[in-house]
Amino acid sequence: MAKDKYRDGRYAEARDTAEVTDDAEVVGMDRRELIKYLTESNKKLARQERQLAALAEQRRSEPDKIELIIDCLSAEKRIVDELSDNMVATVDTGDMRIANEIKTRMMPHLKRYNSLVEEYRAKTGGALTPASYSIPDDIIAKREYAVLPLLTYTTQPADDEYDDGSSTHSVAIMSAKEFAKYTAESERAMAPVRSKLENTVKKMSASDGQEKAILILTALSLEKQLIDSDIELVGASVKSTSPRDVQDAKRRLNADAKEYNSLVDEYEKLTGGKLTRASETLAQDVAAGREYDLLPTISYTVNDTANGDTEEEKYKNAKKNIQNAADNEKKVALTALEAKINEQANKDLSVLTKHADFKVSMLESERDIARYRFGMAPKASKKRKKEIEKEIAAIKRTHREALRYEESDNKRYYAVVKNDPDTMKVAKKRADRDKIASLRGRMIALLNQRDEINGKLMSIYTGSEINNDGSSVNQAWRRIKNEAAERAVKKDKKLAKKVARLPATPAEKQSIYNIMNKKLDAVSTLALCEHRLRKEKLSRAEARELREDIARQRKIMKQCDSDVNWRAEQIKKRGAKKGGAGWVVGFIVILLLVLGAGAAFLWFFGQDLLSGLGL
Amino acid sequence: MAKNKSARLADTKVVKGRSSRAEELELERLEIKREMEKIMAQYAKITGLSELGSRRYKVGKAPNDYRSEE
Repeated sequence: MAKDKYRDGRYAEARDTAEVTDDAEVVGMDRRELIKYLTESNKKLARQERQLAALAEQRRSEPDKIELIIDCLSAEKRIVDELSDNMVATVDTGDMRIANEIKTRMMPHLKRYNSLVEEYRAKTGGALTPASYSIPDDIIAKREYAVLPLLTYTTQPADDEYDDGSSTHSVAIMSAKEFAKYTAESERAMAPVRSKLENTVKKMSASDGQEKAILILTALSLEKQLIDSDIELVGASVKSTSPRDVQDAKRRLNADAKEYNSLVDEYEKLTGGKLTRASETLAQDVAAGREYDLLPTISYTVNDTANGDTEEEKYKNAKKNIQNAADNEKKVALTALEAKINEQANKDLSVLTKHADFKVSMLESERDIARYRFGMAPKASKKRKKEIEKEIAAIKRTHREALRYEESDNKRYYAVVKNDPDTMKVAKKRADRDKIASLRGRMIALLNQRDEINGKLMSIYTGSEINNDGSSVNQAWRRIKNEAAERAVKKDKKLAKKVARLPATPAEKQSIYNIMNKKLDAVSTLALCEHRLRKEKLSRAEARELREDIARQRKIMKQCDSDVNWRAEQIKKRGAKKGGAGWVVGFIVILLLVLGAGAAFLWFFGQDLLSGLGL
Repeated sequence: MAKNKSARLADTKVVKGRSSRAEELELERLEIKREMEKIMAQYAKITGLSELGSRRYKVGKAPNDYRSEE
């Protein structure tokens, strides 16, 4: 573990945890399945490589940021893991040619990973496990291979950055590192429960009869706590920017649910009694934000059958059981309410984040395209870029503030929902209790209404994406636009030179460049619209709008071409006319000069000539 | 002349349509917030929990409130 102090006083703690190979999911495919799997995997890899490229780009501007080195390491690990899975699947089907191709693809990633480990060591003095270059060969030889360690790190703010910690902070969108931190916290909190569960299971196997039944119930209760924590983790993982986090959290929840059900089976076998089982689709339901059944809280009462219960004891036990059942029901209802509140509050904050992302993406798009301009002086272009940077920074700043205020608002609104009017100490009078209950009802209705609107807003701000992976989608869009603009600039370079040579004023030339720039915008927008229409699943209305946009951009491009030609022609014609008029003026001047010279000649020599002629 | 037609992505029908739909919903959301604040004021008065009724900004003025002129 390495602890590094940043220049601004923050700390980062990085650690790597060994991972074991689990290839069960990728073996046993036939060739057709393998091709399908590899096609899907290639799409995933392309996305991961884009994320890595974005991180590398970010590192170029902040080379000293340790967090970015670790993020890059994690991104490289994800790619190597994916390639390893692909290789395992390929070797399993016996297709060695593809396996060797994957090996060639994996080696540069391993090298980069190790150079990052070295850089991390040089900058912080901390040691991380390097990647083994024998991974591909081990996979080909079907040996155990060294999976790259799971990297997690936590950052600690500088002393002056600490908040008062008075409120639980719900995060709208989490980066991979934030989620890693969240997972670590959750694991720490659940460590005592896991250890208790292990002890209980050990005791269980050494016991029998009623004692065993009680131990099973205790184990079930502990397992339920783990499942509840896993549910929270899956809920949070959906907000992580890394899709792998969702899979990991789901896998964890599935494992605990399976364990829970095996305990239920054991209990039913032992006692013949029935208990509620964990749903098999629990993880999927939680991740998809669907309704799911919470597990009931387990409680039990012990009847001492050896001594024989008296009627009074039986009555007490029955009463206690009823009380327990009522308590359980209340607890379940409360847990469900809290889960619902967390879900709604998080969605609400996500909307703010997505709104800011939406605005930022528009500006980023403009900043990108500002690079490809005709006629604009580099100074003006740089100035616009700086302005955009400032606008983006302002949006991000406001967004952070907005999140804080929204969180505090939500805390107040949901306090009304959480407070039970029947048990509130402040509501002594019955009339007050009724009024509070009615206000609470109205508040719940309004919050549900807001949640519905939030759902619609989310779908607008995130488009057709389902995994909240807006940033990478945005990057893909920007890439498409940039490539199209670059192609258009290359194509129109000659035309720009011709415009520069025209006999026109700088203002006239700039007006032609402006038209050319408009065509550039149209070309890049058209490329994106066509891409979206081809690749995305769109609603009918959106597809229609896109088709209309495409037609409109084509029309603009055509119009721009003809405008540029028309203006150039006009300028040329004017130049030609100016040239023609010059000739006429010159001819008249010469004629006047000749006539003037003739008149002067006659004036001076007129008398002599006349006398010479005898006149 | 294509003088009044913009070719920028932000001015496409898809994006503009999205923005206007989002604006309608954001305004609706703001109205709900206004209603909720009214309830909060009444709630704070009845229960005496004054901290629940106090908000630093008026609805529509806080950084987390949507403003259409943005």
